[in-house]
Amino acid sequence: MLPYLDLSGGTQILVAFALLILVSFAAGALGTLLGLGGGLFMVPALVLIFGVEIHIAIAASLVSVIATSCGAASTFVEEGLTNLRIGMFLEIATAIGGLVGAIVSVTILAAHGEILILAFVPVVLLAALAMYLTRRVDTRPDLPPDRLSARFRLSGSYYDVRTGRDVDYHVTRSGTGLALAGVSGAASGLLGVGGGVFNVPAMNALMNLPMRAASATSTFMIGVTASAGALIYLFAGDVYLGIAAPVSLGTLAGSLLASRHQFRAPVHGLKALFVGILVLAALLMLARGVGWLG
Amino acid sequence: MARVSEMPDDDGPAKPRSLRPEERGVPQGLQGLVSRALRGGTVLAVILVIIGMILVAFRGGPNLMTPSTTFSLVGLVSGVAHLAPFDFLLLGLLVLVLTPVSRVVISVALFSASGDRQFMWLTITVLTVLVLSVVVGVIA
Repeated sequence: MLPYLDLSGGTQILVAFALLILVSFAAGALGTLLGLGGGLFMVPALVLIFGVEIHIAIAASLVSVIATSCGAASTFVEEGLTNLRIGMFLEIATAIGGLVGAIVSVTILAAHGEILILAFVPVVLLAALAMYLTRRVDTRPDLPPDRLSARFRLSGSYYDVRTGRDVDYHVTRSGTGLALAGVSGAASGLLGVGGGVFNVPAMNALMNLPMRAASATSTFMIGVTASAGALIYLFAGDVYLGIAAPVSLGTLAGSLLASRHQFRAPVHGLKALFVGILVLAALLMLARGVGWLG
Repeated sequence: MARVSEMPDDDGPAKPRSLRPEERGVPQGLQGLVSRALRGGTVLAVILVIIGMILVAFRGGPNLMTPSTTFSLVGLVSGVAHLAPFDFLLLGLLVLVLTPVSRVVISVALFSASGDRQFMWLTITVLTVLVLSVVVGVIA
């Protein structure tokens, strides 16, 4: 059994707050630097470092995901980077997914936290793999919009500050994109992550959105996705105030700080290290899930 | 004398230009309102949570392993009026979770005002899912 930091009275409340803010600050900063969002680091950190029960960790992480999403999305929407129509179109699927994921988590899996801990392992590994393999796919201007995309008029344009040009794009394969958004929403509600790690490649490589528009639109959608799940956890009583509050503050601060340095940080050099951290987190969660760590 | 319509196009390919909001199918003012709602909600939530944590520091509170439903929404108002630390935390987190909901409400209003039935129903569907989340959460 690992020497957990005891949050239930054994540790001074201010010390506990400070530690939670510190850890979530790091999780939020790391997640934003890598474009993964904070949730993927936050849940394992709460479970492995603080010994928090998985449902409580997931609920706290979902609330913090909302904070990061809203904080960043307000700027992206203002700058016109976010494609509001695609966001709202895909949100139908992510919100339903988030709702279903959270229902499964608080009902069927309520007494089976170890299944949730184990479910985290493939998701974390998949995210590590995606991060390692994903390349920015250039938007193809020659691709025509598909029928669904034409019907909902999803094609868009944004002004690229760095090149001083407008970037126009047509949206393709929106049906498959919608289905993937549902899966990403379910992962969000079930495991307390934002789902950006799945949304962004789906929108960029599959639906033909430029990378910047894809990530700005994903950030925008994540707020509603996480809200669909978080409302269930909140009213079901899984949001522990003394944990979710400092975690949200820390994650938001870390993510805001990291987003200012996103394009200057030598991310590629650090990628391997972070993939290592993710794989380690997955292994520890696996050990925890099968009961080796108590 | 050549007719104007037959003149060769010397300008080359048309320069790309940014689509105006109405061309993107987004009602006038939606971007600004959504952006302000997201920022305002987040800032308000952060202020409430910070006040709550400062109050915890001065007045103490139950231990950190306190679930959200220990505090009723009815008791929330009087709790905040009496500077109860955990009621500030609850109010702050509630504002945070409802911030994305508020921008969906704004979208429904502006899409219906602009006569875009398709996106009005689309955003109403999203709003319905969010309301369903509250209902399911209360039952569970």
